[in-house]
Amino acid sequence: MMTDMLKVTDLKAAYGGIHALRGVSLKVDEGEIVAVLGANGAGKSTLLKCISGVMKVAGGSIEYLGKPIPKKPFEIVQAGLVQVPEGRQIFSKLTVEENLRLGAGLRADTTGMEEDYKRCYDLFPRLAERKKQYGGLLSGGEQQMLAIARGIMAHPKVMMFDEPSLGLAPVIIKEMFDVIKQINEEGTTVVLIEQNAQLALEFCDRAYILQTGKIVAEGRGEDLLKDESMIAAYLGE
Amino acid sequence: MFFQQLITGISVGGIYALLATGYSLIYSLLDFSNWSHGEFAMVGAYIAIVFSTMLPFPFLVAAMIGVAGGALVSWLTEKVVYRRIRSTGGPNMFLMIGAMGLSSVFQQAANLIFTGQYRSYPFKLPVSTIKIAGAYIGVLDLISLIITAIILIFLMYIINKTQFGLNVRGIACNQWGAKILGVKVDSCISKVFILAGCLAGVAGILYGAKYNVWPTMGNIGLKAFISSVLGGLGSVPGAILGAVLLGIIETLVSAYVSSSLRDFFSFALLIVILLVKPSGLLGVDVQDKA
Ligand SMILES: Nc1ncnc2c1ncn2[C@@H]1O[C@H](COP(=O)(O)OP(=O)(O)OP(=O)(O)O)[C@@H](O)[C@H]1O
Ligand SMILES: [Mg+2]
Repeated sequence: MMTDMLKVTDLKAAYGGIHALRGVSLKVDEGEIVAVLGANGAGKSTLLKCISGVMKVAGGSIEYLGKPIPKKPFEIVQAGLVQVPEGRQIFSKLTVEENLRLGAGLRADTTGMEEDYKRCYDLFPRLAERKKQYGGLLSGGEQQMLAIARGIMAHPKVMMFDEPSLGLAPVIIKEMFDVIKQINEEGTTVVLIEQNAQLALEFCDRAYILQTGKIVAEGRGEDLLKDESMIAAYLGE
Repeated sequence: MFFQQLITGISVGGIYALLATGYSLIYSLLDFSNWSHGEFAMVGAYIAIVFSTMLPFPFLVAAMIGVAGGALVSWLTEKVVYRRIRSTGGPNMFLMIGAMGLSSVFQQAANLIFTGQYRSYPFKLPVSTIKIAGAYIGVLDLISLIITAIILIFLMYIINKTQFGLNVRGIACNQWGAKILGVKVDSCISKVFILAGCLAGVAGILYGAKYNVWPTMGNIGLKAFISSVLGGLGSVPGAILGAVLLGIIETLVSAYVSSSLRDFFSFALLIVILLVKPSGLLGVDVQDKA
């Protein structure tokens, strides 16, 4: 039997008295692109925080490769789960190159790292031209590229993107999604958080729709795309 | 004469730099002014006194134990006090108040254990001089300068060239982002306290060798604070530059104006910097776009 790459069961999480996740279950198979959609405040980022180990889980379980996921954030990254976080979280006072080196901080395989630097700069030639520039001086689109490249540097098995299209021009969004597709085709499993339902549903294999901390729909991207009333009801489009 | 004062100034500035860099690193990581930082220097200085004058250890061994003691105490303050205050999620002001409390506790404890008496190390280095280029340079100043320079170069190497240094700079810039990327934030913070404690310990012993050891000598921590602001709060090269400038200015003021006006000038300088260029001489100003 094939074990799931990532399996979340009845996950609960809260900020003080605010219940952000009220029992979320989902699974991600190896090699898939799974989208998690939902309006503002649905709990999408909270879900990723729980998976990344930076937020305390109040109930339920997260399994990775058939075993309970490690506890500490660095163990989770080391195990191959990396997040490209909401708001990019670039290190503004470090150079592009240093940002990437920081992403690779837990690795010891020097040759693999060199290959991944090259891969990042091939994927994003604009970063290669700006190696010595401070992260904080990049444009919004370049910062998003840097955040993705920095995630690649950790050499993940699963990459989780939190709203990578936010605040970007359509051309750049397309470029970003092409790269995510390429990363996926090269063997990395992808979890994609989006508010832009149309875009994400066309792009993903399967999707879950999250509303106020609960999964309210799931299915193949193309099937969900046909169900306009559902999209209107849950995603407000 | 001027050359001689300059060497003394740089040497004193070097001692300030040992404190200012550690202070600045902690500030950059945790966003609070560690008012007890100077006390690690005092602790290191006293431990070296104990081991070299009350116990039969050679001075160098005593000094190393003193440095290790400074590091240990620095690490303990993080582990026992600051980390707990942080975990309650309260404002950073609580950290600063905690640091002020610790500072008093250390000074009172030193006073109880060792009394207010001035103590000195068992050697006569402070009075010997050598002649270089027609000027009489204090041997102690020279030794202090060389030790400081080596340590600071080593520190710059750690901060700028190692993965640990990169992680520290990453945390300073965006702790949340660093944590998500798998940087071991708490362990890095602990190591920085250990490093800062070592630097302070060395500073305390060099300072003690020059001016004696007494319970409130940790107040030189204030000079570290001025140095950091002068050079750019949170910047390590800035802290070094600020400290050396402050050391030179103080020495020149003492020599050519009046030694009783030394601190007056230092604090006036602090206020002028805060008014004129609060980002300091080397403060980087890169805004986050997010
Ligand atoms: N740090 C926090 N403290 C308190 N409440 C929070 C915090 N972060 C999020 N919340 C609340 O938890 C709920 C879920 O937030 P979350 O950030 O997971 O939403 P999201 O789906 O990512 O939204 P968005 O699309 O706007 O990013 C919201 O009601 C939000 O107000
Ligand atoms: Mg979000």
